[in-house]
Amino acid sequence: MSGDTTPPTPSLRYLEQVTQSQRTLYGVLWSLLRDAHDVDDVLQETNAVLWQKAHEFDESREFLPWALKIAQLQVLALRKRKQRSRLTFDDQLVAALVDQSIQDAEQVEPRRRVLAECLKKLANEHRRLITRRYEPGGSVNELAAEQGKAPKAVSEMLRRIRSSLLDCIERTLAREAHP
Amino acid sequence: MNEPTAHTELDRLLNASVDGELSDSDESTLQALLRDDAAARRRYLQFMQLHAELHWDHGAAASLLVTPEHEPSEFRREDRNARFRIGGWMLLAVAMGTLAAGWLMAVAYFHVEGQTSPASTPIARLELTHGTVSFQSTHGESLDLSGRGQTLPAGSLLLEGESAAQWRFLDGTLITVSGDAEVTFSDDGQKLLRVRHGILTAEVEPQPSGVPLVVETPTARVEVLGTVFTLATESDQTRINVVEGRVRLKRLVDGETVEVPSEHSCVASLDARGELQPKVPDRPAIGWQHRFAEPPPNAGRANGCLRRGTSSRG
Repeated sequence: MSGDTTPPTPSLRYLEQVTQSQRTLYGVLWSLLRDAHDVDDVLQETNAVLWQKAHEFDESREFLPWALKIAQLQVLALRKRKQRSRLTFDDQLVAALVDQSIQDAEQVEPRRRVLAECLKKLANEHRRLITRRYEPGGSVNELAAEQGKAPKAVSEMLRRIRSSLLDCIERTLAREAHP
Repeated sequence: MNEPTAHTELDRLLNASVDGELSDSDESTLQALLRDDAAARRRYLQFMQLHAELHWDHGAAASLLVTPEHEPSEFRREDRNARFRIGGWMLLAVAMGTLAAGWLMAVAYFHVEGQTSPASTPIARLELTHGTVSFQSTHGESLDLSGRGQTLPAGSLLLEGESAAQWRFLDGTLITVSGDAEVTFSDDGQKLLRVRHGILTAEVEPQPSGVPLVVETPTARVEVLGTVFTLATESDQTRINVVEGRVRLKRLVDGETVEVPSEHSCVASLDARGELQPKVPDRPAIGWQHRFAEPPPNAGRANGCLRRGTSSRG
């Protein structure tokens, strides 16, 4: 076994926590990076570090804050590589957003659950637009060209739909909290 | 549609940001708002979670319903978007492949008849493949797996070595299989997965009443209405760990059925003398992570649910 540098195998519980956290990590990374390719790359790097550091994780602690802090470090590393382009947040803002994400972590799952219901309430036309926007390759310009509309008009429609979804999520959660 | 006015300017910036329409001055305004205002940060995170969820889940799943004419080639440009999952799941695959090592193939099992989904009808979308993964539809057509977004009809996936495959049904139910594995899946109104061997993790969206998602293995039948679980199958036993929700586990050798609640695990084997009772995994079951030099523990021994006896099948 000497010279074997293979990381030790994590426990099944650890793997489950990594699996469960993927969507949350993905969401937080979107907020920190705002670029699909960067999000993909950093989530991949975060998973690699989660794997390498599995043996350092204390099972009595919460997993998500640990994972988010690792993701934060990967975001900062990417920022250095990208020479602080205008679209990247500075270290303090990244830290503030990660701290807020940890604070609000318990809300993520209920919001996700309610989103599915709110999507069902959308008018067919709006649901179709959201679907097209978020399917692979979808973009405002592509949608505008397809529909013969100005990109601004499509953007405005998407803005209204997202706003109504956020509003629906808030109202539904409030109703659940105070039936 | 009444919009709340408190977030109007912030929401304009957020939408412009995700739709690629943010000017330099807008970018500065957005960053200043986020720096100075905790409420703006919270709204921003909620907005981005929505945006990410739509990317992750609903867009991909729903697009199968409204754009069935799409060719797989249209999705290839997004292959890079799948890399994070490939990378992540590659890691999981290595782990799970390790855990799966040594497990034996079942024999005289795994029939595909009874699956009524037409071979050409897409029922799922591929999220990732890693390693050696092959796919054959229920009508015997082999499909080249080209990457994330590719639509899949009912069929069988065969994984060799430390491989992984992940796919999503139309309703968003996410299935991951890893290690040496063989799985058949279909959805003709009821999702059916047959796992001959390998490790399967499922994040199951709520299923319609009376039509649970069903997982069949050589030793067990599992019915799921909506939950997250991991299932490991070998020739003579099936172990399930339920993370969230509740599943119904039936031991095939004697028909005994048990409900496995959240954060419990249970083993169904060919030995009907063993106790079929869900248990909270003992802390020592987690402790084995510290004994990495040793091979992974036997699933049955790890949770103590099953006192493994002599297999009734040679």
